[in-house]
Amino acid sequence: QQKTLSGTVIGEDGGPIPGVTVVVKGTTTGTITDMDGKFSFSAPTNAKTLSVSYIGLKSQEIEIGSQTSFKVTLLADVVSVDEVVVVGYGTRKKEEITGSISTVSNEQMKISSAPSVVSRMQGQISGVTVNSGNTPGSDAVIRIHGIGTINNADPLYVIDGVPVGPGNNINPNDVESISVLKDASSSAIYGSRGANGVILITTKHGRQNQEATVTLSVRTGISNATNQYDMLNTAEYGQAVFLQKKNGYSFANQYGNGTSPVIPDYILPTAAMEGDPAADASKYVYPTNQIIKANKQGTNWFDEIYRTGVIQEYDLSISGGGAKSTYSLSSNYLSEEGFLIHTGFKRYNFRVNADTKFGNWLKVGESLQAIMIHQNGDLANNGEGNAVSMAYRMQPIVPVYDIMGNFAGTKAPGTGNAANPVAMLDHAKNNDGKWFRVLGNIYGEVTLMKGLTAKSLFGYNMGQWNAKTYTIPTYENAEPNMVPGLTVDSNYSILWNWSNTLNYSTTIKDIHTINVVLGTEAVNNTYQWMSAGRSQYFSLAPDYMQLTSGESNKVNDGNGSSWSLFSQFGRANYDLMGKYFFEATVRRDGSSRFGAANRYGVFPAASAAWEVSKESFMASSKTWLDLLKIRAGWGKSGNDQIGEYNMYSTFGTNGYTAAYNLNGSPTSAIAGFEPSTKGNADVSWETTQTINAGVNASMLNKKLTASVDVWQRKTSDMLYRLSVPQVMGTATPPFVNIGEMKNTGIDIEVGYHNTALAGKLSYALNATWSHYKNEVVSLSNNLKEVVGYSERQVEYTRATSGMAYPMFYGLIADGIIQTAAEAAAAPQFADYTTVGHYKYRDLNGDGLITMDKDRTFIGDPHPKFVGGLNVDLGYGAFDLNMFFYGSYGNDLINYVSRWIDYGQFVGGLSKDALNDTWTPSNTGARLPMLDGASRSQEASTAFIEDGSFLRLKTMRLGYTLPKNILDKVKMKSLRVYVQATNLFTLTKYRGLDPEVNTLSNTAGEGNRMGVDKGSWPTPRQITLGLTLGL
Amino acid sequence: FLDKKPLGSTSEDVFYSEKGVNALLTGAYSMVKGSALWSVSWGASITNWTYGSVASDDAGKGSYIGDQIPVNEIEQWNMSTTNNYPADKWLLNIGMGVNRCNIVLNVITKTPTLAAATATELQAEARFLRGLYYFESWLVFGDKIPLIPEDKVDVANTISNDNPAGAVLKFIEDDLAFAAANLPAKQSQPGRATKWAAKALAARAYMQVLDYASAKPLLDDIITNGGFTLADKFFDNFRIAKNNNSESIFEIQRNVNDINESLNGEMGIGLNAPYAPELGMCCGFHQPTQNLANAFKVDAAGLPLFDTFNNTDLKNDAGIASGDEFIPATDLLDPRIDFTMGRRGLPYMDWGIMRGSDWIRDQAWGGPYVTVEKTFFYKAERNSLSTTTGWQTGINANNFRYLRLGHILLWRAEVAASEGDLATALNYVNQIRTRAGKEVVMGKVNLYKLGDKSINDGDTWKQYVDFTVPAANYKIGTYTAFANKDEAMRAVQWEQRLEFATEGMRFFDLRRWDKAKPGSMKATLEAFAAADQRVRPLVMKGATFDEKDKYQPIPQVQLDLEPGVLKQNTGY
Repeated sequence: QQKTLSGTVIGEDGGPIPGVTVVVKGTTTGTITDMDGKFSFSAPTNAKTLSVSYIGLKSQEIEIGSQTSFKVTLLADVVSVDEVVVVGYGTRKKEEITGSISTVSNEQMKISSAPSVVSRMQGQISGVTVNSGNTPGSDAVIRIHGIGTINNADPLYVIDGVPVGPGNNINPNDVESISVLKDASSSAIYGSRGANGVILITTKHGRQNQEATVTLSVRTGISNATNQYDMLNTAEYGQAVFLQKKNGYSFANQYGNGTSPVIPDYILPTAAMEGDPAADASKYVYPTNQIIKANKQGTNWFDEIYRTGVIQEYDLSISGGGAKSTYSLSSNYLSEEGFLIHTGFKRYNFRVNADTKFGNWLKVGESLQAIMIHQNGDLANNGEGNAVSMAYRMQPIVPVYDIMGNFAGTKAPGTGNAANPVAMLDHAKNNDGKWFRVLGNIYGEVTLMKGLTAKSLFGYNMGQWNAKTYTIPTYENAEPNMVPGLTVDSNYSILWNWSNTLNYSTTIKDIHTINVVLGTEAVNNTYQWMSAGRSQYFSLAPDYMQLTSGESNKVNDGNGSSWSLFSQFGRANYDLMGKYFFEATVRRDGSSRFGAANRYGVFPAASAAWEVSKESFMASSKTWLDLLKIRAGWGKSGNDQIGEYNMYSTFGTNGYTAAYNLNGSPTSAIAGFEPSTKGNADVSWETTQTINAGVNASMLNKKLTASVDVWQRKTSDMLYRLSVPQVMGTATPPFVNIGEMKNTGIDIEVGYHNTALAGKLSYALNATWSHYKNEVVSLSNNLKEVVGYSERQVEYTRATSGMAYPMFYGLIADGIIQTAAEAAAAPQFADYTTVGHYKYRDLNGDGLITMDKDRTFIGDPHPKFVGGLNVDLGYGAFDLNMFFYGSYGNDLINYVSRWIDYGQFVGGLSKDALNDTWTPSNTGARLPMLDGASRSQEASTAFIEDGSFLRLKTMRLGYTLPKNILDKVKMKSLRVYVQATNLFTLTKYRGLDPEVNTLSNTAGEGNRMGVDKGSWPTPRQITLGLTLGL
Repeated sequence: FLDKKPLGSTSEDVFYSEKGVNALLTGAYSMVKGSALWSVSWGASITNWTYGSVASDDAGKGSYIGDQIPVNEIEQWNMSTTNNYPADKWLLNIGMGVNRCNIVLNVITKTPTLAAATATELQAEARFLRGLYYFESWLVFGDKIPLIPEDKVDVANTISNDNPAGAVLKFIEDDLAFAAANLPAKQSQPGRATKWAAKALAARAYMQVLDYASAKPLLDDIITNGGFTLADKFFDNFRIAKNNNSESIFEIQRNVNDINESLNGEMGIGLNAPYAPELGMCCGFHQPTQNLANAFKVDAAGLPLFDTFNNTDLKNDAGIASGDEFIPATDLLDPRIDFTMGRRGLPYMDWGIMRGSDWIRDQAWGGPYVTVEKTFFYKAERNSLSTTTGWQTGINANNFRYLRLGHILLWRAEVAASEGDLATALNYVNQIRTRAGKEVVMGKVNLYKLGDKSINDGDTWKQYVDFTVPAANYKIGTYTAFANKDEAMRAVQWEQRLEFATEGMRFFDLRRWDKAKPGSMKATLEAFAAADQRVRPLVMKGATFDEKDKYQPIPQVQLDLEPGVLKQNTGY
């Protein structure tokens, strides 16, 4: 007997869904829905269950009973959206993951308003250390699971299947998800490039049968500096000059030769008073005879260079899909003015992603991003020569402008040698850099048979950089540059990759699920640069100053490089009863960076997971424990980041070191050659071996989730450019595989969410906590081998076997010597050991302080842990998010202190330099006698400060319009919010910002970690935003 | 697909031709500039302004206490083994110079296509340069330098620096003898070494150990057969317009403006320009001392005040502001003083009137005399023959006369004095003095308050100068006779000081003369240090000169890289 079953299938939005399969479960009896989502068919009267299914939506089974008419609402298959994790060359369901992988969702991307994707990852996941940038548009530095190598320790970034470097400036709003592969069992599939972790970024795609969604976001706000050094004013500076004179440190100055400081009316002519004929305005000639008045109150140079910068961002995205095709496009414009005058950053992003299906067997798609960046002004950071450093290096008596409105500066005698930072920023205001990038892929995927697909993806990443840097004469400075000039730089890089993968998955007898991926990949990168310059310009108008109009010093330069990689790889997953998961991967890489004999390497990995909570013996805990999963993994991955051509011995020309003027012409030299590199063909990649174990748990109806990972990474055959004695020549020595580095650590993520007040208040807390310990096991066979970092002839850091990379190195200062007797008894540091100076500790007990015998490791720039805490509160239509980030237990070297507290060069001085310095009547002072003694400025414990901090990175309050109001105005969503960054910081650090310099962002410069050389402080931004969905 | 070759560089086999060897030889010559780039900076200067001049009684570091602190250690004879200045010298001469010469010598033997005569001549040039690089290292570090022959380049870090006495000199001597035997008397390119250059350098090497007998025939040969004549005027040896003149035997060729910042010109002197606001150059280093000024004082006969010169100071403007009145000294002076040091109230070449303390970065530290003029250039040459970019715009195209006939004559006079050949000594010393008297600094300044720097705008300053009258009260006389050997030697040595002042030789000269008169170097330097505090109260306070201070320490980093192979100099 038959009966007729009929009904309608609709989606979440209420619209009908055509093409839905409706069958009686376990039979072939059934049909598909028509264009209106309707179905009708005859079924046996004993039919019990109706099965309704559609790809991309969650299947439903409905008890038929006596019912004959059905209304079925199919929900989006949330597994496919939230529970799928992108892994190397594929995706896995979250529950199948066996390695150490963290994900960042597009929701988490919205917490921060930083321009870069990497900055926004800070504190969102455990096991990574992120040092956010603080100049407009700057990128952050990220280290995954400690610092794996003294070489380039950047992770590999893969955007939509294309391997790229850091700093690609994609629009964070375009990010669908990010997966961070932290251990080698996950990253080994990237072989020789996976050792420092892999960050997989997937951009947004449309969904099938999704009505077009248009989202418009607008954001605008302001950016300010939060901090400045507390400097002496003009009168106080005079006192400091005389205090130094009293202490035996006399130098040319503007305060006279009497018994007390006299503030002059003019500083150019030197220390002149009103009425001095030389100071008569009629004598003024620019630039040869400037007249500069003293600023008697004192110039606050920070106030002069700081400003309120305006931030604007506009984002428009559209996505949707039909039965066969999906699309997602977006465009974004971001403009950030720096809080230093004349600095800024603009970014333009365009993205188009589209996919379509032909029949049931072929899917093709593409992803395309076009990015342009425009940065302008002097964005130099982290150095004693940048504008922020010049602000503390200027004396307060110097005004910004001279009597006729031209820049004033240290050309006035006795005012030091700093550059006027206002002039510096002004001179650089037309400097600009433009960066164009096109990045994306095109792919095709064929279903060969049930469960077997083949995919071919061709990716590309092309970048072009153009920069113009003007040299404007700095007549105002003590060390001026008098000749205008222009430098134009240009470079491009083209990377392509072609990967081909076969994917097979099948389930046998319902309990054995097998998934196999096999693939090959080829990657090729070419790079070329060019630079040209001229000097002597008739006019300084920026439009006039082109290469062609420069009169002399016609120089140009350029070169290039390339590398390539060819690989085969495979991965097998086996899932037994949904409880036991196994994964094995292997990749074989061949790299152009190594000699033919060492070109190929094999990177294996294996991992397993056990979902304990599914075991029958856990049945009793079901009431409170939703998930308990234990994971363990082992793997090897590599690092080939040593630049190109390490195996070749080469000779090159060099205009400075290999040319000589044999002809005797005063303006030209003859080019010669010099040995430039020594090759080593025996080198291969660094290998990093990791073991890790982890637990994931979910409790209390998934309200409480937690994961813990413990891990160890050991990098062996670490590539090291062995220091070669100079008797062997000075050609750059090759890398050799010699060092060893070890990192161990633990990562914890905990989340809790619940509701209160009868469901009106929802709240969620998500915390991350990461700890690592780094150790250089060995660098070379020479135990004395060190990689240190020096600034102004003082060595601050060292890395050597048995210590972390790096550690601070120097003398131990045991307070200040108070009496002559104490000075006589103290270990002698040449003639330095006198009352009012530091008493340094004599480590070898010979009664003397010597730099080779009494220095030791005095501080550790590595944090004991870093952590982030997200707090989300929702009440009705309001939501509030707060994100805290902190670092604990890391030391910083306050190099700026050497300038402003100790008076290195005669620049600006801090209030402490005058008020907290040792004098016979201020014996408890923090600082030694103010006398410019270079031996007070040796690297010592006196410069080590606690860099721990806790910062409220962002706070955001939002209001979402209720649906009933939105329906009236035919909008899908409307949200307004106000967001503030960097609201407060708790720290003991005396410098401008404890968060700067915690990591170095240049490859191979990890040895300068933690040295604060004078940086822009982290800005405080307050923005108002509106998001509109149509 | 995986084979990628480097771009813009080449491998060794490309150089197996005459053209190739010459290209590498040019690279080896490149190091004689002394220093040329940031990785090898001021400490490597071939002018030896630090080790030869600042360490002596000729000059001080200058500038102010806080800039280039490592040079304070050199000046105060208080060196630490980690000081980066000697490390620069080591790097440039041994690491780059010697190594490149050895590569050239090896490539020559691998190039069978070279004609025998060509090969020998190229070898001779490379060995001259290797001799020069070793000589420079020897001056600064003494005998503790590793001697690396060309066949040991690849095993160089097993070669000890603990040489038997005389081994270094022998090595240098062999290289220079080979060069002298195989180089032409004249080269078409003035920068290349000739056989006379090899002989002159060998003579200078012998002079270091007072081996007068070996030096004498070489010096005579150069004087008799070299064809060199003294330039007309003393200052012709220090002017760009007179580069490669009739007196020059081997000049370090300078050039500028071929490349940005022109560090090709020799960055070694990049700090040594006056720190005057109207000049806008950096950084006021290498200031002559009061002691040197005093040494130029003469008696009524125009002869030096050997014994009393430093009892009182030639009047100076220490502590006097530029705007205050100061009338320069009217004492009788050797005219070379004002080609050697900038004094207040006198014309400073064509740059204007030296305005005293405003022209000096920190007078209390550096003293009242401005940076030496010998390595400088004329205002009229600015930008065309000096660097236009960067901040070291004092770098210029003025060649450094590394070996010139003036040196040869006074060394020959020294040989004669040691032999008691008083007539020969007298002849050569008087030739030099006669030439020195031919030129004086012209233009007496009649303005004594110099606070207004606009006087140096353009030609404004010239209205305050009477160019018909010499700038100071000059007098230079010739000796009529030497009474004995000692008096002759004293006059010869004094003449070398005045003629070669601030050219980076004084310290090494005091050291070699100390061999004949042990203790004389310590006595001279400590007497200088004591009296110097009258003008510069801080710099030399408490400074003592010890035996170890005669040589610079072997760089600590290099000792650490070659443990057990390299030894430190005694006393460090």
